Order: sequence, then C-alpha cells, then structure tokens
Amino acid sequence: MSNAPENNEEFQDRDFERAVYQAMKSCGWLLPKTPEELRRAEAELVMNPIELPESLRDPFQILDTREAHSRDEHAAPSPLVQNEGLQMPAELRRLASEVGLRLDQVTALISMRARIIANRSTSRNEEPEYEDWKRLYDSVKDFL
Amino acid sequence: MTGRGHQHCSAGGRPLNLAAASDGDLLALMGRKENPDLARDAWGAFYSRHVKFLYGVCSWAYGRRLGTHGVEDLVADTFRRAYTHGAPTYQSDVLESSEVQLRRVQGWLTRIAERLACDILAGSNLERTHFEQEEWQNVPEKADEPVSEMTADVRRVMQSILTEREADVLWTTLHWHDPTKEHQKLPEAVLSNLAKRWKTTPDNIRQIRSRALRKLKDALESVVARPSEER
Repeated sequence: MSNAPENNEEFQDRDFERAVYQAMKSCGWLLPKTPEELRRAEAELVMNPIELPESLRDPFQILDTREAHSRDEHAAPSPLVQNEGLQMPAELRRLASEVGLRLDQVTALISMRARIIANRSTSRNEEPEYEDWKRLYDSVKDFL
Repeated sequence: MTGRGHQHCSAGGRPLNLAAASDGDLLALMGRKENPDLARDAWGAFYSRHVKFLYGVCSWAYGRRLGTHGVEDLVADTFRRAYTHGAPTYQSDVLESSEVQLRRVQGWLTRIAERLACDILAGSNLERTHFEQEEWQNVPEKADEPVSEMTADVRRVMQSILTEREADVLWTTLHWHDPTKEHQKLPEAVLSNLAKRWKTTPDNIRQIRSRALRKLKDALESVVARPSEER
C-alpha cells in the first residue's frame, strides 16, 4: 500500500469520502467519466460482456417509438375536449396519431362529422370506422 | 444494421460509408435534419457503435435502483436526447486522435445518462431536463490515477460490511457528489425520496450516512493494519 497505514489517521472526512467515491466508481456503482475510467469500463465490458436486451437492438425502433409518442401527445385530447363534452373515438385517435393531427384539427373533424350525421337519416347514424375518418380527413385536409 | 437500404453519397458523389465514419461526422450528419434519411442512418450507425457500452455501464450503476426495464428506458432516452438535442450542437475536433474522440463521446453519453438518472431518482420530469451541451461535452482531460491499493481496500470493505440501507444512502449521496466542487448539497427532493424509501426522516438519513462512513473508516483502519497478504 502506498502511504497507509502511516497517514491513515490523518484522513480528513473529505479525503475519505473521495476514497469511497473512487471505490464506488471502480466497482461500477457510479458512471465512469474520465478517459481512464471510460477505458477501464470498456475493458471490463470486453472481459465480462453484457448481452443487449431485445428492446435496445433496433435503433430505429427506439427513435420511432419516441416520434410516435410525440405525435400521440400532440394529438391526444386535451382537457378542453373533455370540458366541452367531446370525446375522441378510438378510430379517430388512431388517425390523429398516424398523421399527427393537432387538437383544433381533431375538433374540426368531429364537428364536420356531426354536421354530416345531422343531415342524414337516423339509419346511417352508426359509429364511423377508421376508413370513414380517413376519407373525411383526406377530403377536407386542405381546409383544416 | 440500418436496414433502410438508403444509399447516401458525399458531395463529390462517392458513396458514404457510415460504418467507417468518425463519431464527429456521424453526429454532424445526425444534426442535419433537412436530410432526415441520412440523419436517421447516421443515428443508426452511431447508436450501434455505442449502445453496448452505455447499456453495460448503466446496468452496473443503476441496475439495482432502476431495475432492468428502467435501465433500458434510461439508455434509450439518452440516445434519443443525443439525437434530438445533442447532435446539432456537438463540437468535434478533427485534430484529436480517434482514442480521444472516442472517450469524449463516451463521456458525453455517460454525462447525459447520469443527468437523466438523477432526474429519474429525484422524481423530476425528464422532458424538462435541460441539455447542458458545453458542460457535458467537457470530459476531464486529466486521467485519474490508476486504481490504488487504498481504493481496492475501500471497495472490499464497502462491499462486505455495509447494510443495504447504508450502501443505498452512501450511493445516492455520492451520486450527486463531484469531487472537483465544494459545498455540494443533496437536493431536497432526493433526500426526501431517500427518507421515504427507508421509512425514516431526512435527519436520520444524514445520520445513517455519517455512521456508514464511520463504519467504513473503522473497518478500513483495521484492514490496513494487517499485512497485505492477510487482507
């Protein structure tokens, strides 16, 4: 050992904490930061490889998950929708997620659909499918 | 690995070999969002090059606290953050050796991961985590001293005498500790999370920490008093 135990009694609390900090780093409990620590960690991983889990194997899936998540957040009904008593049908939610519709666009589509239904006979007043929402969206998207 | 089948060319018309490109070049390409296919393929090459390393070190450091799925989310979030916030502003230096560039990128990724982990452990909203490019990219130039016998002794003692609670308290407080800075204070949210986890008070957490350090110090003194071959 370098200069212990002779100097051991002179350990200041801070020095000792630093030694504990280094020990935690050396056993991987804390992330490596300096070039030497990074080199050591990399060497350790070569000696004791860790298998990558399935969920991290496809980089594009990771990125697409995030992009889809952002779109979902963007298109999700806001409290405003709920306060106004409007509900977003699941099929419209799917369309909103796929094409990245904003809240005002979703509200406009619901409103247009309601006007169409009001002008029809009651026999055609069933819940619209995804294709119905898509058709409506395609026909009016330039005006949304 | 990219599996998208795009053929990218350089300005001179030569095909780009992303697998052989430097990290600095990949990050620069990832930042060019006006060419999304190229940015994505550069991301694929960059990710594939570093994901095993980052997952490995994050598993060691956070596996016990965040669990397997927590570590997977942390790694995925770190890379996403590098893509969306880091790549456009990453400053690479072509004059640096490939070894220095590699450590700089690894250090940058671990800094992002550490910051995100701190926010997870403190119960913060990750979406609001501020991206500190300049600070995180500044990997300390000075290499640490090799692992000394003292560090090895502390490590042995630490792994054998600390209770789970003491180890958790020490780990959590040292996770926020930067040896180059003075007057560091554990964030209140972290302290109160820690107290909640161990069903005690923040004051008691401070006492557990002091006792754990004292316990380690005492054990270490008895270890170093023995001849090396008996340790």
